[in-house]
Amino acid sequence: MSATNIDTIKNEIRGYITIFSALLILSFVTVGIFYLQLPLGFAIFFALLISAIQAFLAAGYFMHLISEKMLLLYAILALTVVFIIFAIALPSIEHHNPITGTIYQNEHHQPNISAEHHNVP
Amino acid sequence: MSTAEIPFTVESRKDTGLYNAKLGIWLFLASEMMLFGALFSSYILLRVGATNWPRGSSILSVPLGALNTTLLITSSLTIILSWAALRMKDFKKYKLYMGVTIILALVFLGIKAYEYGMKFEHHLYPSTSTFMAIYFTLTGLHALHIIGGIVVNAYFWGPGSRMWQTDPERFTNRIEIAGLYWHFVDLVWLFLFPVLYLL
Amino acid sequence: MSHEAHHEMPFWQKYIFSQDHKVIGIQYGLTSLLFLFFGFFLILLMRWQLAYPGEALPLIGKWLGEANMPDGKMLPEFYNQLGAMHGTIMVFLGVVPLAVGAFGNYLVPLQIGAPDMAFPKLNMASYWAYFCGGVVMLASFFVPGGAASSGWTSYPPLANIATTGQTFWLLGMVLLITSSLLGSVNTITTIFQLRAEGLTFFRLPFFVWAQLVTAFLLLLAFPPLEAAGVMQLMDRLFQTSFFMPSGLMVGGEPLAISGGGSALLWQHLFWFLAHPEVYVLILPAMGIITEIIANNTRKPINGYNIMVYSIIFLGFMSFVVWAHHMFLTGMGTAISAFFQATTMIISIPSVIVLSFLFLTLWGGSIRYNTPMLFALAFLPMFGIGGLTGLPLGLAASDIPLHDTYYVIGHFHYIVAPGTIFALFAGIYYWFPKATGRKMSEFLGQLHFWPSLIFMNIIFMPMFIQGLAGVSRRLYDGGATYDFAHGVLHLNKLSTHGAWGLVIAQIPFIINFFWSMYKGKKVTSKNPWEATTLEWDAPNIPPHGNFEQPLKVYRGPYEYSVPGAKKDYSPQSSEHI
Repeated sequence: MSATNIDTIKNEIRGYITIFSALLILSFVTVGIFYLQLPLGFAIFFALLISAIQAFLAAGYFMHLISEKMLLLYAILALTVVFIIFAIALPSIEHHNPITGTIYQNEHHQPNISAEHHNVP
Repeated sequence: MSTAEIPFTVESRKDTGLYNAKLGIWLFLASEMMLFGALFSSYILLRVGATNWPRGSSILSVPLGALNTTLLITSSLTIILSWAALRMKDFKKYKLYMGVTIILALVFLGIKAYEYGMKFEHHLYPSTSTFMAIYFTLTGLHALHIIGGIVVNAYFWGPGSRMWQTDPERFTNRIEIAGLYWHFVDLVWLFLFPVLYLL
Repeated sequence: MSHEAHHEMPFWQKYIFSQDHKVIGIQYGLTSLLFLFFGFFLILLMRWQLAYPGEALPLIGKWLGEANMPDGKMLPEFYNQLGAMHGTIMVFLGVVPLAVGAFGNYLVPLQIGAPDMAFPKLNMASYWAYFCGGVVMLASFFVPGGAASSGWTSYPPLANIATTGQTFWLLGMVLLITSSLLGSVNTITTIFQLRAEGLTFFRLPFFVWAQLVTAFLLLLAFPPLEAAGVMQLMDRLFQTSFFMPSGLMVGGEPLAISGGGSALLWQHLFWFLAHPEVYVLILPAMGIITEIIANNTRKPINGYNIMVYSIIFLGFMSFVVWAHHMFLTGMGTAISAFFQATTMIISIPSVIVLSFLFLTLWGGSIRYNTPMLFALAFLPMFGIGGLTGLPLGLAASDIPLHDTYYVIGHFHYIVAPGTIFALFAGIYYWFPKATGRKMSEFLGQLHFWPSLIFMNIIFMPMFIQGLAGVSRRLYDGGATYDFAHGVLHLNKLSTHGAWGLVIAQIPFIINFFWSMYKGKKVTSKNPWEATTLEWDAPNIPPHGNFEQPLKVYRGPYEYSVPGAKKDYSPQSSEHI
């Protein structure tokens, strides 16, 4: 890095401390939400949401992705979004199996448990 | 400049805006994201397919996990302060903050070791259930990454810091790279903690 | 830093623990060629058993020991070890290190006008990690129970309960994956950061683009296999149940494990790597063929830009097709439909690349030297391999063909008379740059024609066997199944073809080593009259590669430019 003004760096440091505080507070919020004993679905949503915000702050500011050339940032963001959509979509498709009449036998979409045990010698 | 010297080891290339090691570490971190991503998706697959899966808090200690989270977030701050110190040409401050980073990491490991010990005392091993298996594997692999980070940071605190005398700009870049790796290790924990301990 | 340029290094630092990309490239090259021939030897043993099941192998049989071949007759356990290790060695220790480690390392810095790779020490580390991984893999043959024997795919539960050799396989893979990761970080950084002045992305030789996409595939696809390998090691060494379902019985006894795991989880993680891996196997080959075709038709490559976009698209798509290897696992029709669709889509970029390479031949002044012969043969051979993949990619037609000899025929056509022919072509083509001498054309033809004929004799019958229903990985080649009897004689045909193929490699081995010392010396830096930057470096390029920094003025395939003095306009010449 070329010579930068001491004051600029001091400003950056103030920024880092702000981000640090935000990360800490968000972690306490996560633990706090946990103590609320929400149903699992909500718990997962909030936990992952807060982690995602923390990841954005850490990656953006501590790892200064925000100040890098936009191409790198957009590439990483785009890939992350695609990956997440994929990771959530695939298991859901498999579980719900929208093409009917295949592995699930009855209308209530229960797995055909008896067939699974059928071939055990 | 002799043709044998590799360009952009210190100064950034205009069109990419990066120096070599910075691109290199980001690529490495991308592969690490895939590694931990694979383990997280294995966690999801195993949990969805399980007949019963314990709430993490019933087995793991949330206060200890929260304490570890605090330690790691703080260490992320101190390592970036150590880099900022070098940019302000303050070597003593760099040594102080990097030293604190290493100590925080060692305390993290100590607490982790204590947690593992507690599990073993209660006869909870990786072989006990798939929850324990994925817990030990995820946190174990993460701990290995922490150890790697400690080794690198300690080298830069100690013998490696001699480069500050000969090539301060390159040394500053090295600390930036070490910081990027360290932030990533912290980031992984920020996902590990809620998923394993709280859900 | 670069003090090596200024004083003489001891032998061990110059040639053994070198940080120079060319030395490392040659290290990768020689090591991988040895592994290729070793892997070939393993399949020759297997082919004896397939053609003459239960018969003693003369001479060599006795040397392989009582545990493997008592009285020279192969045991099924040994057959399985040979099968698993043939696949592993050919893919991970042979083809990829040659295509990426050797050709990539040697040529990428030269073709972009760089003095070396971005991280020379990392380069050295990646070679030695590969070397150690190879040693571990070879050592696995000598442990009690022998080498891994659960296929190169190592499916649980079988692989979980297999003998010690499987643990060695897993440890070897961890080392190889590490090597690959370090190498790909190096390649990508080098291509982004060290391009010469004027060398924009769309002036890069297609070979460099191919190496770039390949490096991204290796970088992002290998870690899930590393994770899976760690989990299988945990299962084997610490009795976890990542991949072990509940209620599993082995030898009539229930296993004392927690259960709750999923064997399918391994398959998903394995194929998440292994599908991009097959594109790692083919992309560098396409890169080599493109260079050689442009040079030997004296024409620019038709559709270069589209070819580049195609392989970028291919790279992305390769991450979303993996479960076409799992159509028969009962995943469900919706998921199967998804992967069938993506698989059909991914065939398009390959067809585009192949079509443009064919089109480039039209109207060219074709020079039929040995590299060009191998390149020309690559095109239809890869075509057959690709076309036979289509019924495998469609879920319905995959049902009778999955895990049959049809699959073996399909992928061998792509890798053997496909990729390996491309690698041979590359060796003949770049030999003068690396050694200052040309390989013998006569021995080259003697290598090429029989190899082409025998490759087809070995692999074409496999489609017939597969369509008849003969499964792969059968120790007796299908003899126990009535329905296979009509096609069993083809086992003998393939085996005899394999013997022919071995003999056809002898001229190559002689040519390779003899030409290094006695081959015809080339009088110019650019004996093939090519346009790309590596031909600006002196033959046997010194440390740092180029005498002066290069500047690039045009694209990579400016052949037969109207108004130019010569029929080729090098990238680095200011005037055409």
